[in-house]
Amino acid sequence: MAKSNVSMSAGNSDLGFNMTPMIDIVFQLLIFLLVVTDLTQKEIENLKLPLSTEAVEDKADEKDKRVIVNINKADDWATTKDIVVKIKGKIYNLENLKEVLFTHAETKRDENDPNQPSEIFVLIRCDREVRWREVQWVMQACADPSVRIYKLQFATADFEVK
Amino acid sequence: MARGKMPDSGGDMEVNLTPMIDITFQLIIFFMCAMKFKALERKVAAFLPKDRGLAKTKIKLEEKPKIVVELKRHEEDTRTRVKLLDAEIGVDDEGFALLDQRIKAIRAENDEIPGEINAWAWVPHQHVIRTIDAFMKANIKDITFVGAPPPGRPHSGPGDPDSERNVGDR
Repeated sequence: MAKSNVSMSAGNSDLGFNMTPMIDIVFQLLIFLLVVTDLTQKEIENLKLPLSTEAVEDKADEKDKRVIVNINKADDWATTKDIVVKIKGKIYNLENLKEVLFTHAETKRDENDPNQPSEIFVLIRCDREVRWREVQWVMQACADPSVRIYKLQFATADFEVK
Repeated sequence: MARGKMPDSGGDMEVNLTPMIDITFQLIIFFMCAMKFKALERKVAAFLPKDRGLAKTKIKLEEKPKIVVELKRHEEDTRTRVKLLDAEIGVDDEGFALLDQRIKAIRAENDEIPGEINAWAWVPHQHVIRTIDAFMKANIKDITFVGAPPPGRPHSGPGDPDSERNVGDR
């Protein structure tokens, strides 16, 4: 850290301020807030996506309409085959997943015609080893008559990025 | 931490580099944190059906010729058996390699034929995506998924009438 230095001379009232420490602190705060914000709203979990040769590049368009559902293996997957479903770092079970999807769906639904499907779409990021049943349940939560999210995307990895 | 040299009593002045290096490092860290890395992920788009799949009563769907791929796997299995139009063609990678060829051959004879994927509950997600790949390689984009029963009910595999409801269209 830069050394703070306020120079004073005995018979002289002239004070020189060293701005360096202040700038140091401001930048430290900026970085701290940036990192903390990123961690709390972490949308993408670290998991092994299925490999695909035919999928198109995900350019993350229309971020305001996209909900990312991460389906990852639980820590005790080897013995239990349990999964963890996360949206923005928060864990959901299948019941409250439906509730949170409903909340998102309502934000982008035509107010004049509430029976219309939502404009929200769901990106399913599922670990390649997780069973298809878990993915289907998320699909069913999306298609639930109260939720009505009909557009889905499956996240995949390129074969070169194993 | 870089440390500058204070000027001596003489008129010789040296520049103190410490603050500049401090700030430079701060900026480097700031931009590294703020930088958006290029997404390496890819995606396969899908659309859920709006007119079927969630009704309490079963809906009779019109029978059209389609390429049905069944991925069979019991809970205790370690391999997935690939079945195309009621004939088992192989397991895991070997089955998928054959699947690519066979689907292309069928598609060559009928360019409007849709696909259907009936994956058992225990099939890994990777194998379903691999099957979608096989259809897409043959330029078939009309793919339907056969559904599983809702949460709370055990999946009994094929033969369970509830497992034969469609839940998704690609």
